[in-house]
Amino acid sequence: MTGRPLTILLAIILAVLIVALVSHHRVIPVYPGEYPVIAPPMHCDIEYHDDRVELALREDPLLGRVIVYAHAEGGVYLGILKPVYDRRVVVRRGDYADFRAVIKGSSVEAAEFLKKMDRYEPKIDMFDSIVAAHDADRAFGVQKCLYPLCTRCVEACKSVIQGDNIPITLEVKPDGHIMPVFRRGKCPRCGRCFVNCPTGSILPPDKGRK
Amino acid sequence: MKRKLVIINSVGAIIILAYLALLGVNAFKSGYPWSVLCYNCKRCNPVCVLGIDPQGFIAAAYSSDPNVYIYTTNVRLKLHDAMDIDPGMEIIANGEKTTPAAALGKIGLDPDMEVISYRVRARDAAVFCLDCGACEKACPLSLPISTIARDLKKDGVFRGK
Repeated sequence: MTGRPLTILLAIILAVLIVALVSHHRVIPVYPGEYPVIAPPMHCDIEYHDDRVELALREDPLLGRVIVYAHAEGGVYLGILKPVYDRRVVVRRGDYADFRAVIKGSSVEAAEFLKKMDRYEPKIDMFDSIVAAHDADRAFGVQKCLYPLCTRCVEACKSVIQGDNIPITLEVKPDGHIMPVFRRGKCPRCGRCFVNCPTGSILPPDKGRK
Repeated sequence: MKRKLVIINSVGAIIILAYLALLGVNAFKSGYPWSVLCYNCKRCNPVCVLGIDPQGFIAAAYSSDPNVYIYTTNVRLKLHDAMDIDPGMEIIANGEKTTPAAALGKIGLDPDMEVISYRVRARDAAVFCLDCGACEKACPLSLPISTIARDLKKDGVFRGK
């Protein structure tokens, strides 16, 4: 007689535990917002001179600075953060790369800063790198998104969704620049990615549609 | 002799405690009381692409002075902009450390020349800050360092002012 209620009680406890365990893994908060919009990549027209490369941007960057990148041999991506004046960026001979990253497939494997206080280790001339990339038909240009320097969108998303399987990834596109890629399915629509993006690479839906 | 040593030690301890109390009071006054927790491990320093020493923002907060000069070793800007921002900031022009005032005056460099910053005021560094959050990510105490930069960027004063 006493065995039956005990069995029912155990079954209820077990059911509650299973539900709690399953829901813990499946709960993704869904906010009443909308999906973010990834801004189109930044384009520029390039003029080559003996001692400099001038890049004329077709839009104003939000921060007033952009990454000028050039791919080098062995999947190395070199970048320099340059100020923009009148929609123009000038890379002169003697402008050394601020950072380099190793690209594998469409993702960044590792990144390191080359500027250490008041010295560069090693000194990699960005002007020469751009010219070499141009001659060897490798990718170079300007990039709005600050990855791999900034990972704010990914960090913000990770604060909402547990685990690594998040809807935003940063990928190297076929033309060489890095930009966020967004997969709608798992997005909780919390809006933290575009609120935290300092460069406007990820936009709120109302601005993205314009 | 022993009595003298006790007095010297006591006075020393009082001075140190008074200094620490002053830092605490300033940290409260500036609106960032958590800034006294920073133990200057410098882990935030090598992660800033602009070469900003984020600990400098914290030092500015606990000294309650946004005009403290902090290392900002990799901001490229035109010489005339550097002059407009602060003629006394330290810059690197043609590989030499100087100030915009000296570079334009005594040395006579082209105002359109691109220079690299070296030491600037905390409130100017905040304007340069990209708000990428790398310093906060590197901080072992997860101190919200970029909130200081964000507040300074708005109007050049701390939150508590």
